[in-house]
Amino acid sequence: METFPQQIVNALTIGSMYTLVGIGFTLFFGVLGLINFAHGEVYMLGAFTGLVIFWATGSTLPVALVMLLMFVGAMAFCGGLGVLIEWLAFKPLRRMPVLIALITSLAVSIIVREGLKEFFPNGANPQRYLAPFGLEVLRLGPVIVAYESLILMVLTGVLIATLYLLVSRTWLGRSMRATAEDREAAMMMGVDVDRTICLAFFIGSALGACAGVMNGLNYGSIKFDMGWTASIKGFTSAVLGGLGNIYGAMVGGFVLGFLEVFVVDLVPKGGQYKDVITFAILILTLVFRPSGLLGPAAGRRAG
Amino acid sequence: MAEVDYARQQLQGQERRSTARVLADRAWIFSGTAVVYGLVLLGLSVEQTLHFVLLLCGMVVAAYGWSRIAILRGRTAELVQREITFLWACVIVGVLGYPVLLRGNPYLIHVAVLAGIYGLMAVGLNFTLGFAGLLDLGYAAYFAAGAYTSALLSTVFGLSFWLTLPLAGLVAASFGFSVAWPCLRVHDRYLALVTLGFGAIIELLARNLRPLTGGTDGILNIPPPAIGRFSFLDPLPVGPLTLPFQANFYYLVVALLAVGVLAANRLKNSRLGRSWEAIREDETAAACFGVDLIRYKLEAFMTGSFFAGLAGAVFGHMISFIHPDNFNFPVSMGVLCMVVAGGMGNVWGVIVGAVFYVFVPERLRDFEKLRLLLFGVSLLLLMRFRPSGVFPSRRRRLELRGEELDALTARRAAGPVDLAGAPADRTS
Repeated sequence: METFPQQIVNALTIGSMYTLVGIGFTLFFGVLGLINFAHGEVYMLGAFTGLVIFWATGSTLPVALVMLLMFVGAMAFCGGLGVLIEWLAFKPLRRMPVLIALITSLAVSIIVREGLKEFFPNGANPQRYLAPFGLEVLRLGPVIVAYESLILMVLTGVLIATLYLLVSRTWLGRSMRATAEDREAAMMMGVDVDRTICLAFFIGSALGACAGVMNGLNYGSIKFDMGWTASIKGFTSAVLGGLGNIYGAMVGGFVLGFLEVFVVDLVPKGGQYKDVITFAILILTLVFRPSGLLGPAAGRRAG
Repeated sequence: MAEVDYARQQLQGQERRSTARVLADRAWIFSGTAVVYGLVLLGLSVEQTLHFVLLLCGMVVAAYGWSRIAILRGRTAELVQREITFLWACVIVGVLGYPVLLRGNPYLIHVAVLAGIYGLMAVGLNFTLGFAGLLDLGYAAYFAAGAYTSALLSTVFGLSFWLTLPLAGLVAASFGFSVAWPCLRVHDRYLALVTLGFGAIIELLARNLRPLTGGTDGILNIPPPAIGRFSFLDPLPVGPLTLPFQANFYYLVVALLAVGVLAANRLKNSRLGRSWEAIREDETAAACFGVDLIRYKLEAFMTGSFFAGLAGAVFGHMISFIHPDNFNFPVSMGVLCMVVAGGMGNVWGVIVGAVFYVFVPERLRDFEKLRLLLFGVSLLLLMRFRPSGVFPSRRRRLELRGEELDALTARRAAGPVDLAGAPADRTS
């Protein structure tokens, strides 16, 4: 068993990634009522965009700049892609039943994943990722913090703070919350709902892509099928925070990260059952507290 | 329904057709079925992928054209209505004759058995999703429950397949019950996530509970079914012919599928089926009219999972080897796609969906790498342009048309809107 502070660092590291992916799920659910299975693939594509940028610039530019470019490039590209997916796939289905949009998102996810697997050079195999610090780590007494996870946590903090300000203080954020609350009422109050949905898809996909790059930096390798696990963790975080509740998702990912790390540590053979825990949390939350941890106890009926 | 049946009897009684007319009708039906059947067999036997693709496209275009030309469609419908029994006879002969005609190609019979197994699952999911409107993304879990139950009972306790088959169905149904119980509290999107979670947990347990399920080694050497001394791995003698052993499984699956179709048709207009439909349309309204939501939702899940359990048992005993990978999320997704793409609520539609889902990729082996990509693209296009599926049930088609009309009204609120043909209750 590793030391307690060490586990906190580990939990914060994975919690950051879960949170960033979870925010996307919650945004899409909020504005469209959609469980977007394609989001995991956007996350995966974010990691691959970062990889391409690394290939293109890695040998000429200083490492810090390369990493900055990777994050910015991946977020911009995938944000745009998210908007494109929304426009092509989901916009025509606005008034269709839930099931149709759900299957469409599955279809988009298959297309993105298989497209990358077949058309990216050597796409079916794991790809080595940029390791800017090699094996060097920061030692704080007994606790080991990889520089990668430090960057990852700080960046997540900055992004979440920015998003928090955007959502709570600006006009754009207010229109997003209004759309999530009641799309038609927002429309009547003069909110440009289509633009808000586009914005939500841009932000959600960009954050997902950012988490993808982080995953690559943290584990040193990426693969075309990494999106599925991210999807599971992401929507469990979103559910924990209360689907559609943007503030909730900021917390949900960290809660899930902590639960996972400590259960794996405390339960014998917990590693095998890590994903079982995630799913059990997902089910229990949905059944007993569908409005999430932050939502009111007797929230709106889950439906 | 009684009134409708009565009226139909009256009409048929009035219409006395001459013998020549009857014969002509039957000749049309027979030749029509024969042509379709021949095209299907041709599609299965052409060597080159390109030819297959061309044939498939041709058939799709022809079928679409046929359904768009009102006079052709009307005539066909009349003809089918007059000679429904004869059409049934033709279809049954065709289905039963498949292994006889393809006895030289056991592989195609094997693929047909797989299609039948998937078809059985699709028929099962059609109860839950198509009839009662309950979204289940973890359907492979019941398939797994059936397969593991039957495999364990026959390998460990040596029970006969004919005993383990119903037991597999019942165990799967009890899994359905335990999934459904907590699900009574949640609705559509949330239900999708809960069932997805359950499905994934079952798969993970199958993978990790080594002492029970063999973990990632799976379960090996599952014995084939047998009737007396006749094992299902022996060739099947039919009169002067000898069919390859796959034909045994083929007839088994066809029989189970017939049970499924019969159950679906009988239940559709029963009290149970009507209650399911009411729940699908509007839960609150159904509850207000005295539909017992808890009971009927549980029954929908259990009926659906029962058939998945049967399918699982047959699958295990046919392949003789099961592995957690046979029951992962893509399987649930595949069955879901068959049901939605085939036409939710229409039992024939979902079976055709299953047949396509299994056969088309088989024939596209040349595009091995792009198969999934093509699948994704076609699914996307289908959802965009024909969301009610290829063979929608009538009611479902009207529902979705209503949704589209709502959208149309909202978009062109200022201008005149053509509402001709709209279901009256949707236009308000």
